[in-house]
Amino acid sequence: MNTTKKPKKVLVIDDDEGILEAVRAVLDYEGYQVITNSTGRNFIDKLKSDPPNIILLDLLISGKDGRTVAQEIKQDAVFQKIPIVMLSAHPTANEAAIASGVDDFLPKPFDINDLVATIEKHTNPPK
Amino acid sequence: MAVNNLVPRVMNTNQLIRTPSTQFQNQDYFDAIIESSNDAIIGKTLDGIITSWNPGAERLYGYSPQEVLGQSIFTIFPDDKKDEFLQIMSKLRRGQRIEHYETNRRHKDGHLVDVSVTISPIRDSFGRIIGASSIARNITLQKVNQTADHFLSRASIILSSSLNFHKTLSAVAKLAVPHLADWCGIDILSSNNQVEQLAVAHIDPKKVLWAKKLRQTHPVDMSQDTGLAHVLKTGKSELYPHISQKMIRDSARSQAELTIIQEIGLESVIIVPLIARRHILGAITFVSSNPYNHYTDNHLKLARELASRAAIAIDNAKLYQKSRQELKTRLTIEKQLQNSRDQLEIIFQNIADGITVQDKTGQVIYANDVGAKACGFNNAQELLNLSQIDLSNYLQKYDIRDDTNRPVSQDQLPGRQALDGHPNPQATLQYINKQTGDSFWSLVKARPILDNNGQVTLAVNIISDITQHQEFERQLAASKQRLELAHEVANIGTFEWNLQTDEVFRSPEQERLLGYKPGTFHSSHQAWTKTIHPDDIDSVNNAITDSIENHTEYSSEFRVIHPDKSIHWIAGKGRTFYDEHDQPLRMIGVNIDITGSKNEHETKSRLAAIIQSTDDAIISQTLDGIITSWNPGAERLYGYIPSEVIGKTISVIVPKEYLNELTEIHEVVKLDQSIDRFETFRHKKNGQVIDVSISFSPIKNGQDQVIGLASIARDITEIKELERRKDDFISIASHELKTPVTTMKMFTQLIKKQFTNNPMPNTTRFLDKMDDQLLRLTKLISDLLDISKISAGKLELHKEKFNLDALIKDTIESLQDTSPKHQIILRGQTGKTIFGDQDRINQVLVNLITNAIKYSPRANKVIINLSTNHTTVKISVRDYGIGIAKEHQPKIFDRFFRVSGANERTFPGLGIGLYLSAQIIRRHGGNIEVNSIKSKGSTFTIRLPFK
Repeated sequence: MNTTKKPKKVLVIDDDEGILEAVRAVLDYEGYQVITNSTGRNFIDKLKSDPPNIILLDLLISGKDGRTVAQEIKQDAVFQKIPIVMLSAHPTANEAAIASGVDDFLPKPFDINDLVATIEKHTNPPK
Repeated sequence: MAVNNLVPRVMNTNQLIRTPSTQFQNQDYFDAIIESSNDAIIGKTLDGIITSWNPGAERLYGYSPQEVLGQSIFTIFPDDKKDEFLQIMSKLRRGQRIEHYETNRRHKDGHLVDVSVTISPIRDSFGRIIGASSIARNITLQKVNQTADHFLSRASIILSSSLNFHKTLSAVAKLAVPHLADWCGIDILSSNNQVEQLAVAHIDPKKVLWAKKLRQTHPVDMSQDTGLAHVLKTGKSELYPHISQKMIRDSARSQAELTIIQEIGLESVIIVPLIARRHILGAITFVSSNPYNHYTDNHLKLARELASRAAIAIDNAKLYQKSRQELKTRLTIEKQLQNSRDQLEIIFQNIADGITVQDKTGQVIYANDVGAKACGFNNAQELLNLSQIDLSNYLQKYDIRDDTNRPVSQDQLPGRQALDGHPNPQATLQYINKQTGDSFWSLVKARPILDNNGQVTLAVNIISDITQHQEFERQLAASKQRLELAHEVANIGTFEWNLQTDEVFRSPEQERLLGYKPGTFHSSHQAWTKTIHPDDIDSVNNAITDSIENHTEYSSEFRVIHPDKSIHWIAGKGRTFYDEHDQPLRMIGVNIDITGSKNEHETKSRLAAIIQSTDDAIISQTLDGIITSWNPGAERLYGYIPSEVIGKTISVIVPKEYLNELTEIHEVVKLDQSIDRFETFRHKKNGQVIDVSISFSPIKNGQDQVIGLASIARDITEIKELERRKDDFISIASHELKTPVTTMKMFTQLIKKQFTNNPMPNTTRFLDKMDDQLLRLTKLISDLLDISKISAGKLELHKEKFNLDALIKDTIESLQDTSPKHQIILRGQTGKTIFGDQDRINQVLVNLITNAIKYSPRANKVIINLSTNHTTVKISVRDYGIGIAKEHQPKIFDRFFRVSGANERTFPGLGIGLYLSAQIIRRHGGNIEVNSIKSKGSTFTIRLPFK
């Protein structure tokens, strides 16, 4: 899995510290470089010089709707090409995800193997 | 014939005569032949002197050789044939022969003999012609036959030329003259046995007239036993070869007749009858007045032949005339019949009664329109077009009954009875259409029509449509009954109160109204007032007094107390009669029991009070949605007062998006069905939308027809709000629960992953257990979430076509992996594609199968059966577990229901799996049911429609 020298950078946006920790632990173990954000704000400017390969985005972030975050990402010239995977436990998350134009969706709770597979799917463009 | 053959040889002898010396012996031989020949062989000189005369000549002409030898040949020549001799002689002189020359000669007794003559010259030894020899043969018979043949063939042509036998027979008679007769008469027997002279012929027309005159003056005397009378009577022919003067004298009835007969000169007579088909039609008389011509049997034969042909001709003509006459008569009769039939037809078609005529088979061969209509047809033609079988089938459509409502079979119909020989059957019949129930009444009288042999050939039905009459009778009976019933029900009593004596005459009904048997109540007014309820006495007395004083009608309503203490409402009305001084004499009036209507009124009042006081909004509306009543509850709920909404459409309180729903409700109620606790939304006057639960019921008129609907609505906004909050809570709770579960799951899996490479005793197993429990927890949370979705009406199905068998197989395989103890057996297949939410159906299957495993801890198998019928697939899941008690079975698909009780073994769970399953299956248009026996096991069956 970790065949490249430089690990893939994953940005995880979620307001739940437990989730952020768990995702970081799993993805560290799997060999990814993990950056976390718990507010959905200020990450674009910060990461512009070294953008992530993929963004994992929670639908419900305190103070900010995940869909708004997704739209902001898609409006940025640099970030708009980065695939977004929406994560949510909300009953209508699937529909919301589709409506906000994200690339994929994983319902909580998910299997870590599914998480890794989804990341790999979107970070390895078809040859 | 032998002689004929010899003649040429005889001729040869003439040539041999030149050398008699050499042929001497032959000469004797020839002489012998000449002597014995039947032919007349005569030799003569060129001057015509007879030189030889053989016996044949003697027989033919009557002269002996001595009488004619040396005489002139003219002796035997008729006067008119003398030139013939010169011609013959001139030919002979030229050496020519004359062969088979037919002519006639005169017999010694004067009559003519037909002969065929061959004449050859006689030469001397120098070859000079010195004389002639003639060989003559009597051909009279042949001639007669020839003449007869000729005559008969001509007669036949004449007879067949026309059927006017007067004309043909006259022609035949003329034909017979003069060759066969000098006179020929034809007489016919007329129908009254009179002899009618049909034809008479003579060569001289004057004589014909004269003969006719004779017949007029001297008609045939049929009493005579000879002559024409005899032939006409016996049919036997008569031949008088020779009529003597004596015979004439004997037969003549007068001197005048004798003179005439003598004038006619009867020499020989034949009378032959004309007989056809053994009937003597008449006779033909042939008369020869030539003393040399006498009739023979040959003539008789000919006459008979002619007569037989003529008779046939007459017979044919008569038959023809008769048949023509018959034909003419028949045509006349038929025309008359047709005329009378036409007249009858006109009468039949215009009379009020229906007429039908049936033949022996029952088929209707005549009907007038009224008759056809009385049988249920539009016109006569429709009925006449039906065969007997058609008619029978047609009648099958009706339930036919008589006036006592007994069924009548087709064989019992009057027409049929008449055909079976009943003299005058009749019946009052009701035809009830089995399909429509419509009916009509007919009074049917039938008469048989007999033929000459007394056999029934036809039946005539006279049918009266008595539907109206019958209906009138029925209504009369009904109204009579109604009147009786009305009296009985209304209990109308009458009274006559003598105001001066205070005596009251009361009708039996009046006594009954007061609770007494007729004849047992006291006749005073005082007694009556005692029966009145104490509370009403004053008002009744006032009403009576007022009406008497004011000369107005008395009217009051009051209660009476019966001896059995029961209370009855009475309405009293009366009128007072006065004397000339305005003194009241008597009051006449009626009392009516109005207890029923009073009670009804009370009931209505009570209902009205309830409607007025209830908190529920009670609204009535027409089927068009026009509001007709609006109670205070409706006023409070919706904010409109009655005057604002009555007469308006109900849509003032229905949100736009729910108007369609309203239409559907109206459709259901129109069908006389009620709708209970229908949850929907309504507008208040202030625009607020409220949750309501409404029950709708039909409003019917007296004829049981739905004319509107009543609705009772209750505000359930608060209840609904509470439900919504609860569902929101579940939704948020499940979401909140899922977040820590997600974290736990990730960590657990991560630890497991790390330990896989570096195992520690039991750690992996424990982590698996944790993962399982997390899975269960996730599922419980999902189920809770689904319930909140269903409650909110937000359970969305993502329908697509999928292969049901494949789904079931996958589900079973994945469950089998985690449930090694039970064998999940799949039987059958559906082979169908389902249009539905694959994940949801899978959810149901997982639920049922895991339940089956869960609730059969001691069993080792679960059986899944698949089957289909023409519209649905059937999936049943059978276990051999603890089963479900009968009383719990109806509730197991309810939300949050769990089997519980002191004796029940409990299993963990929220009691929502079956509720969810049932909801999902229902949302797919299917159903789910359970069949279970406590301690034996359960079978859950799902039916899903396929397309």
